[in-house]
Amino acid sequence: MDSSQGILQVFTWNNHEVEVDEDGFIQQPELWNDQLALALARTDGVTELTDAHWKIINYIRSYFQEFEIAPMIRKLCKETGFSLREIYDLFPSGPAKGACKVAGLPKPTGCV
Amino acid sequence: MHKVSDIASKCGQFSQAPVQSLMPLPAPYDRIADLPPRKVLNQKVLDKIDTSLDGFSALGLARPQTRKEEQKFVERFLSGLEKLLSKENNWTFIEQLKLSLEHCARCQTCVEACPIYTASGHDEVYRPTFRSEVFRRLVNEYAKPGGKALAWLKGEHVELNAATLGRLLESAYRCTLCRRCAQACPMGVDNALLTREVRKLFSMEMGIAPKEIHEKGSMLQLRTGSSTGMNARAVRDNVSFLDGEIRDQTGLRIETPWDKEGADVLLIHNAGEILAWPENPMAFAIILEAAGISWTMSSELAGYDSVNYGLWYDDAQFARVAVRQAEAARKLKVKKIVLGECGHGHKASMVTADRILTGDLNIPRESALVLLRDIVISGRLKLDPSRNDFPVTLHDPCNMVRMMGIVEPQREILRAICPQFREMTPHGVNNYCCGGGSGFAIMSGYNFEDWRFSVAGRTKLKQILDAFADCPSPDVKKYVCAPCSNCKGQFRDLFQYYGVWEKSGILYGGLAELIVNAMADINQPFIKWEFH
Amino acid sequence: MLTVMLISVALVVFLAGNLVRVVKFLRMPSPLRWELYPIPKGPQERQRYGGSYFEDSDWWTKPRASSHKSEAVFVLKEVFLLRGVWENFRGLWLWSWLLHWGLYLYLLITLFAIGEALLPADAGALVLHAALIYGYRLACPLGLAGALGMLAMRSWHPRVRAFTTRTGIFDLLLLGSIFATGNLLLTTGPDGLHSMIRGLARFPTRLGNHSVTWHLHVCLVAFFLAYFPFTHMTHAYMKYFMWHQVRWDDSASVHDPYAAKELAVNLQRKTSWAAAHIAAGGTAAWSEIVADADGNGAGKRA
Repeated sequence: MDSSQGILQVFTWNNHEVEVDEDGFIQQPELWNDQLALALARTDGVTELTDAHWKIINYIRSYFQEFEIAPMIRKLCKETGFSLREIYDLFPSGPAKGACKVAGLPKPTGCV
Repeated sequence: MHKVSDIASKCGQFSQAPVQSLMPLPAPYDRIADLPPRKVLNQKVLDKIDTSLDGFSALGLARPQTRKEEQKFVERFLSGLEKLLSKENNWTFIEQLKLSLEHCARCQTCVEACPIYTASGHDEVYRPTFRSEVFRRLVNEYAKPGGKALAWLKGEHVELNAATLGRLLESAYRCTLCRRCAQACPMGVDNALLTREVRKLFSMEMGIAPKEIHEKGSMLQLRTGSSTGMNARAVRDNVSFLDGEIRDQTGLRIETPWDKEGADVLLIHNAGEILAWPENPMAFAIILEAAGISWTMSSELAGYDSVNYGLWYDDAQFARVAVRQAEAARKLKVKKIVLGECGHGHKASMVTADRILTGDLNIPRESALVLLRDIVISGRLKLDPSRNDFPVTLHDPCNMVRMMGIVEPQREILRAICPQFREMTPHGVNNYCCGGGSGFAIMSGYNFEDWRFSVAGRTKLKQILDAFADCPSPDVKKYVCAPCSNCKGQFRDLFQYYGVWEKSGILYGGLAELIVNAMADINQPFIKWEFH
Repeated sequence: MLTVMLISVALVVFLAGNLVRVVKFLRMPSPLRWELYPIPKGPQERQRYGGSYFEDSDWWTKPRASSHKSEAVFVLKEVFLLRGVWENFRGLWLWSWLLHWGLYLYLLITLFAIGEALLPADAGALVLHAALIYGYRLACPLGLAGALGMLAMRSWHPRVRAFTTRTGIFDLLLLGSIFATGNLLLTTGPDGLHSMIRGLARFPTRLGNHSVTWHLHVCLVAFFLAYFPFTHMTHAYMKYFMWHQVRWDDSASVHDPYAAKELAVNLQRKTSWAAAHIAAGGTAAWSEIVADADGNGAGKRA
């Protein structure tokens, strides 16, 4: 027993397995790829990833690579040109619990 | 009715926490059937984690699988108990701990003060004296000479097993540490303090704490500078983006000053504001610039995030963060630290850390509410109250108000700039917690949120609805002013859960935003009436 | 004779037990602040709503106002009117108030009676004597009614029943019997109880003939005295510390030269909290724990 009390679950896709936390965020970002993104998106009821989806995912990922954190939502909207409403339409669980999850980021932390 | 000793029962759930018993809410929230369905945990998860207190889990504590594991668990608890009662390991709180352990008359005078116990419909498991009594009996029986014999004689035996410990631990995360019960106690006994000591024992001895506040909270803060994970580069990038947003929205050209040595004021926000409620730091920048305050932000480790989650569960983590924050301020040679709208950050830094920071580390610390009050009352800003002519009520963050006595500054501001300001009942030092206190607002694992919204936040929601009872229509836009990030996080999630924006038109937000919204020189309204 | 010895021993245990409790408390390390508002200090207009000095800008540069008058008023209301119980548990208040007043009066009159017994008799003493007789006539019925009422509450009231302990019942029975036997003594003569105290206060080496009730009453009081320091009933005086040293202790270290000294002592204390992020199975001084930047167990390396 240690401080990390989270019970990890196994998420299976295309015969691959990856560990996710209870909100479905993958634990090893290095295992992320396009197909996994689609598989994660499907858990939120998104059946295909369009260019619009990828624009958001790619921005989130490039920001994360530079700053090791997800971009703020306001910035995400401004830089991608989508309104928050549109992001919710694309990712029904929202930018944090939806888009960031699909982009393979860890779950946001702190008082957010 | 449950007996205290039932906590050790090896089978079943201590309480079923039935939704039917919940305290009624006013219409249109009065139908229990309209509550969102509770999250169902899958059997695989249920087999692994302990939900035997009330069916909910805040920590996802793994159940010991073997007799040996259970024995080890109990031994580690006992070793922690011994440390909690020793001056060397617990000099920080042993005085208060002993006073609260030894002088409870079990009179139950305090229990009706608890918003969780009453909102649950008086579910015994949430009675504020319940976990205190379990803990008190464990201390008496297992940590004192002759304790076993006395426990039998007094009829206060509680079996110490994994079930007892699992439930005790979870129950320590069913109290927001709001301390209303402590206010009611005629002796001065403090159930919230005891709750926090239980949390400490598990964290400091066994490393067991909710991951949101430990591993991804205080540990992350010590490593990266912020519990959000923002390092210095990220925070500067974000804030400079916000400077641009200010320009786009108001036309004001503001460059947030960074690491300016010798500034009068070092402003430390809860870094979560920057990410989740950026309009609040933006409003601060606008006000401070307009008022001509010499201020700066710091990009030192922990110098840009006022949170200190250790306040809720761990003295070592608490002291580490407090010292690093003070070091950041010392380096900049500022006259004072001003704490942004974060309740626990206020108390952690201004009160609890006061006897950890001495000498040149004890840099004076002041509440942003006080600075804002001075600015508003001084007339330095041109304010037009008619711009805030909508119903506003004020939430009192427990840490700022009940635990610090900062009551009037925020009211002086609201009376000056919000013509339709009205109080909740009760308010001020007798306020009710938002239900997200002591870390709950950021805890969302397993099915904890269902409990947080349906039980912990219930009393507050009722209070807010009552404050706006004269204008319930969703067409009348209303504002709950909550000068605390944690409370805002709770309101956001609570309002979403009950559909408060759609059904009642109630928005929440900070205090600084209302001030900027009233600034006559800014052309368009600062507050955007869309739910976020 | 045995009875006299018993009460003498009990008195010694009572005094020593309480003294040890207070000394133990005073020797505790200086803790972190944990105050709770409202605090009856500072200007009156602020006290009305529970405001503190934190409401002032640059509060550390301003003189601290303290008001012993407000504190005293608060304490008196709490002690004599049981303000907290009145406000938060009205149903319990009457019984608790009766019991407390029974105890206060019994204690007060006994102290006077001892004083009177040790003083030479004169006219003033006669008046006092009469007052004391009537004082006991008030104290014992009040206390008995309070104890019986509390017993009933403890046994039947849904708010407290589940948290009634054997010791809770025992304490009430004990107090009830003291007041009951006191009442019985009052029926034996106009100054039954009072003369007993006077007799005892003169440290008699030989006692006259006394009733069984007399002996029983003295033994019960003796037991209570010896038992008291080991119970939660010490809240009678420990409450002072709970209010003044915890709830109302808002003294900031910028105003307190001892804070730095005490902190230095505290930081040298060794800790062995075993979690991986603290001492990790070893021991380390608190100063090392705080300095440990990565939280990977300062004790392990030490």
